[in-house]
Order: sequence, then structure tokens, then C-alpha cells
Amino acid sequence: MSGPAVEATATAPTSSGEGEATSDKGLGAGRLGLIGSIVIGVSTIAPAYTLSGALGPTAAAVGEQLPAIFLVGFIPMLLVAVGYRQLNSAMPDAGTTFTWVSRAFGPWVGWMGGWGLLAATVLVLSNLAGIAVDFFYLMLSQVTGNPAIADLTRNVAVNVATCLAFMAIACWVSYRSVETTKIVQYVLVAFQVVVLLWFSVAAFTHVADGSAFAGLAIDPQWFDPFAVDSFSSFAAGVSLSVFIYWGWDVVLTLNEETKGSAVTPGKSATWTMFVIVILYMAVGLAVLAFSGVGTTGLGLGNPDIQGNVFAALAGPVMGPMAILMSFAVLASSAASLQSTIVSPARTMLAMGHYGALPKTYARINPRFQSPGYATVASAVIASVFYAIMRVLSEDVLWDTITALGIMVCFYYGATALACVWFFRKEWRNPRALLTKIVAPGIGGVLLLVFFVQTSVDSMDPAYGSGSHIGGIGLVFVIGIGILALGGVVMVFQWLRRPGFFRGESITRGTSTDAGSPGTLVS
Amino acid sequence: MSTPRVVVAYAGDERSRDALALGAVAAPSFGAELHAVLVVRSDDPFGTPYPPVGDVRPLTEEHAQGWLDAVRDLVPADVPVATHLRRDRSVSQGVLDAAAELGASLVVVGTAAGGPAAAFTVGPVATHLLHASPVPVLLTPRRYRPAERLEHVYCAIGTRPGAQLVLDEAARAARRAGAPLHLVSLVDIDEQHGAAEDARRSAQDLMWQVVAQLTDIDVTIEIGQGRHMSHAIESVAWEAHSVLLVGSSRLAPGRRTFLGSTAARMLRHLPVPMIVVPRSEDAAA
Repeated sequence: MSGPAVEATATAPTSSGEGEATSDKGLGAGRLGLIGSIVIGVSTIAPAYTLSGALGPTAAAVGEQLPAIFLVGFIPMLLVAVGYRQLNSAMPDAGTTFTWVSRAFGPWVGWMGGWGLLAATVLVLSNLAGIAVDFFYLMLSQVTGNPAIADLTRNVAVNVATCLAFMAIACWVSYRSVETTKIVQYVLVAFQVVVLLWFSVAAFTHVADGSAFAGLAIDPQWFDPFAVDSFSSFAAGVSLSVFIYWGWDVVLTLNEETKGSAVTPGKSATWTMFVIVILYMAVGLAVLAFSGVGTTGLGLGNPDIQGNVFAALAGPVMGPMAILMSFAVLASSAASLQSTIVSPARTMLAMGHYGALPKTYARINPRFQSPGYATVASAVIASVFYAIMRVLSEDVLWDTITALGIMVCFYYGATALACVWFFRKEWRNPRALLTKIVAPGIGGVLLLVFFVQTSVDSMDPAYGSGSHIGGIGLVFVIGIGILALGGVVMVFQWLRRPGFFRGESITRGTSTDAGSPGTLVS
Repeated sequence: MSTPRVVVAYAGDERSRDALALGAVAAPSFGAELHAVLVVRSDDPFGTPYPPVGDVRPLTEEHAQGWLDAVRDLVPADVPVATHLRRDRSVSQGVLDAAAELGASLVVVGTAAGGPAAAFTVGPVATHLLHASPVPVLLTPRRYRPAERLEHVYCAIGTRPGAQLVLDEAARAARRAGAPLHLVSLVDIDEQHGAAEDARRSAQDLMWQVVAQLTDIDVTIEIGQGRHMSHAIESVAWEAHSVLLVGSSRLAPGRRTFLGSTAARMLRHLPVPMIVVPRSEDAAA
């Protein structure tokens, strides 16, 4: 580690500070217990935000089979997460999907995988900011008792300006590397869970006393995935549920050495899955029973409320306490907004580092130790994207969520197949065969099938919210357009900086190659 | 006694280059080794990005190593310097741990760009160091212009008891640096209420006692007085290439530094680097 020009010795990074925030705070301070892991798992799916954004579009796709899709959608996610974890332990790397796919399939496919990851994180950033804007004005109107304020969000200029302001604040915060702390995260997660459960109980109470909008009784049919009317609807529903579960797998990679976890990742992951599925099921059933899937009023099929379901339903369901829901979603999206900028910035940093993007993206600010250039670039791209989409589409939130589902399916699918290909020579070991090849292989193929099916379907101008450009569905334009743009940028990069594409920074290989399995050339 | 060590909290940015420059003056002046410590902050798992992406710490460490490699060229060729890369959840805690492991007797830290009036604005890392360090902390003024050697040592004597420790430390520093010691009493008239007069007199008595005791070094006494702290500081003829030692507040928990309110006000106007000396456990008596 010591530089040649430096006298004396340089001490290797010591691990004494790992796990313990400060050694003075007593034994075991900072150790991650089961509750801590669950809190992290729940916080990384941002339940209040994802449900508000995805419930409507999912119900629009699969109707009453919403609970079935929430259960079934978890399966490919779980299978892929198993492979993700294997890749992460064989090749821990900042670039994740980008690096792994490059390693397994070479630089061209790897670049597109990285682009998919990048696009997904930028899309979620702009959607999250949009949800935050809606709830910001909703909460202001609830606080002041003036319903006119809530409608400000429908004013395109006000909406875009507010969104840009939120984005700028979040950018500034993450540029300065301000992280959400443990205590804030506990409070946020507890608050979201309490409010979501409150919402569910209140919805069922309305159903029970007959004051609900639809007031449906829970039907076993709701849990039957085969009752979904077509494979197209099924694929659309699963890609949306992949989005709502997106992120929980971080608990699988919170391993003992690097994060000071006191429980096994398997145990905390199992519990986190359990908590998340129960929570989503409770809210999904409550919303379905309360609203039904009709296309008018509070029905989940009503296009006017689909992009942001809680904004429409919290009032009728929770009465005056609806402000708590606004506060929960706003707090969750505000906290996530900051941590969501970090995602594309880090991916850009990694891609810049390997020469797949210009070197400026690989800059790290010494004072804050954050990828400064990439952080600002992420915020600017997401802001511009949001502003354009907002002008193009009335239902921008709905369309971005649907496109986001497609993008996550794409890059998760690519990651899973990279896992299969990278570990393919280990097939004789039964355990490796199961966790490194079969499980991720099935998960990856499923996600890619859903990706293709949803992409093809989304060409229909009536798809999703029904926004379209020149007769082609807006979701297709966003989803496939972004991937095509990636192809263009990739060719441009290849012309400008061919080193990466010649395999100079990441060599293709498999897990059984000579040297340590994860050897990367950099 | 082994060679003392000076640890610079280094980050590769402008303010820590100032700190490094000052460390490269202080270390040879006190006959000490210079060590630059860079702490790479590890992610708090509770601050996990949404959606999760890869761990960029190895990349940060690679950059950090580059910044440390540049340290050699920033320090005068005749001053040996060692560099250390560490990881910690908190930068300041990493610096304190490094200082403890190295047995450092001084920690040098940079300060932020304040308004045009303020020479020092203490950033979060420096603030934590100032409230928790068991060894003296040297604060670098912004845009510090390095000298070759420290040629004068100042020691601020307050009007409250417990000054003996900072005096001892200052005398030791002056002796090591072979520099004259200036005892300074800074009084802003605004702050005087009744009984303060006695305290001032006792501080002056103490200063005269010190002058009588310290026969091996050149000691002078200066009283800075003015309507505000800024005036009191301006009334002292500060020598160039000097450093001021101040004691910790009595609020400091045992053997830690703690920037007192008077010292904090001094900091805003002081033209020279300041060393905050920790309070010893028995000094409260």
C-alpha cells in the first residue's frame, strides 16, 4: 500500500474501527442485530414510496390478482438475489452488474448491463422526486386545510420547479456525503410500518362497516396467479412487483466481515423477506378490498389516481389522520431521495473507473469522499428527464414506474445470467449447481422473458397510462428508448475510449480461472 | 524519551494541505516525526443507498492512496514524513485512533473557510477532535503561510484556575523549539463583571511566578485588552511564525480537549495557529 515516494511505512488499513462506530461507546456498539438488519432491509425498499407508486399500475395490469402477483413476483427476485449474492462474494466490486456482466460476457454486454442499472437508478430517482412533490403539496393542503394547494402539483411549471428544488437539495446533501443515521432510519422505518398498518386496519374497518368505496370481501381467487387474464398482464404485474421488492436483497450482502453483522445474513434475509411480504400483502389486500379495481372514483383502475395511490386513498381511508400518510411517504421519499442519488453516482463512478465512461465520472471529492462529478451528473440527468416527461405525459409517475419495472427486469436478468455463465464450470458441485447456476438461471430467464413480453406489449399506445408518442406507447419509448440510447452512447465511448472495449480493464473469465476467482485487471 | 510524533489529519483537500504545511513546520520545530493520516470513511449500513449498488470504498481507498502519495511532494524535502491510510465510520475517530496507536503528542487539523472576518471556522472533524482528543490539537488558520520554524510560543492565561497545565505544556513546547515564551492574558472589557478583577490579578500573579520559575527560557508577559475580543487580540504584538497554546474548558471530561467559550471567541480573530491543550484530571482541583 505504501507509495514509493513516502518515507517510513504506511500502515495498511486497520480494521479496528470496523463495526464499532467509536471504540469508546462500549462493547458491541454498532454491531448489527436482527432488528437492525430488518430495518436496513425495509428501508432499502422504501415501502411507503414504492407502494404508493406501484400499487395502482400493478392493479391496472392484473386487477384483483394483485395479492397473487405480490407473492409470485417475489420468486424470480429471490432466485436472482441468490445469484447476486454469489457474484458479490466472488467479485465484490463497486460496479456490480456492470463489472460482473463484463466479466462473464465481455465488455459490450457488460456495458449495456451497466447502462440498464444506471438507467433504472436514474428513473427511480426522478419518480421518487415526483412522488415527493405530490405529497409535499398534499401535506401542505392538509396542514392548512386548503384543498387548492394540493392541486398545485397538477400545475406543470410549479411541479417541475418544486421537483428541481428537491433534487438540488438532495444533490447537495449527498455531495457532502451526509448519510442517514441509524436512529433516523429506525424512526423512519417504524413510522412507515405503523402508518401502513394503520392504513390497512382503517381500510378493513371501512370494508367491515360498509363505508368503503367498493367494500369487497377477500376472495381466494385473489391469490390465484393463474386467474390473471393473459400472460401479458401477468408479465406486466411481475415486472412491477420486481420493482416493489427491489433492494431488499441488500440484507444478503450485509456480511459479517464488512458490516459488523452479528447474525447470519441468511437469518436476517429470511426475516426481512417475511416482514416485507406480510407488509405488502396487508396493504395490497386492504387497498383492494377498500377500492376494488373499478375505473372510476377511488377504484384502483382509475387512471387519475394510479400514479400515486396513497395520495388519493389516504383521506377517504384514514380521515383526518391521512396527514400521517402524507408525512410517512414524504419522509420516506425525502430520505430516499438523498440515498437514491447515491446509487447512479456510484455506478457512474465505477464505470468511469474502468474506462467505460469518461474519467471525470471517476473523480472523488477529497473533502467529502463522494463521487462529486457523478453525483451532480445524476441529479442533472434525472431532473432533465423528469422535466421532459412531465411535459410529455400527464401520468408521468405511472409511466416511469412501468418503464422502471422493465429496466430492473433487464439488468437483474442480465446479472443472473452472468452468474450462471461465470460459475458454469462449477456445475459438478451440487450446492454450486443449485445456488450459482440453477436458481439464478431460472430467475434470470424469467425476468428476461417478462422484460421482452412487457417491452413488446408496451408498444401499444394504450399501454400503461395511455400516453404515447407518434402512436407508440410512452412506456416503450422510455424503456427501449433508453436502452437504445445506451447503445449509441456505448458506440460513442468505443470510438473515444476503446480501451475498455478491448478488455483492457476487465477481462472475460470464469470462476475457475487461475488466480483468485474475482481477479480483475484495472 | 523517544522522538515525539505529530499527526496531521490529512484528506487531500485545500484545508488539509494547510494543516500539512503547518505540521511540516511544527514537527521539526519540536524535534518530532511527522505522520500524515488519511481516514477513508466506511459506509454506515443504515445509510445504504436506495436501490443498493456496489461498495465504492475500494475505489475511494485507491484515490486516497494517491492523495497520500502526493504528501511527500507537499512537505519540504528535509522533513521526513510517514503516511497512513485507515478506515473508520468516523474520520475524526480514525484520526484519534491513529494518534493513540502512534503515541502522537500533537494532532494537526485544518479549518474551514470562514467569512472574511474569521481566520478559523471549525469544521465537523476539527470540532470532534477539539471535544474528544486526549492529546493537544493544533488548529491551522485558513491559507496558512508556512515558516521554516516556529520562532515564538505564546500561552494564553485565563482568569480562571487550572492554568498550570497549559503553562507546563507551553514551557515544554518553548524549550523543545528553543523559542521564547510569551505569556498572554486577553481581557475583553465586555466580559468583566465585578469579581473578575480578582481573577485577573491572580492570573497575573501566576504569570509572574512562572517568569520567576522558568529561568531556562526567555519569558515575557503581554496583556491584551480591548472592548471586544478582537480588540484585545489586536492589541497584542503577535510575532510571525508563532503558535498560541490555550487550555481546555473546565467542561472537558477527564484528559480530553474541550474548546472553551473564550478560546472559541479568540479563534475567530487570532492571526496565528492555536494549540488546544487537554485538561488533566487533577487540574479541576
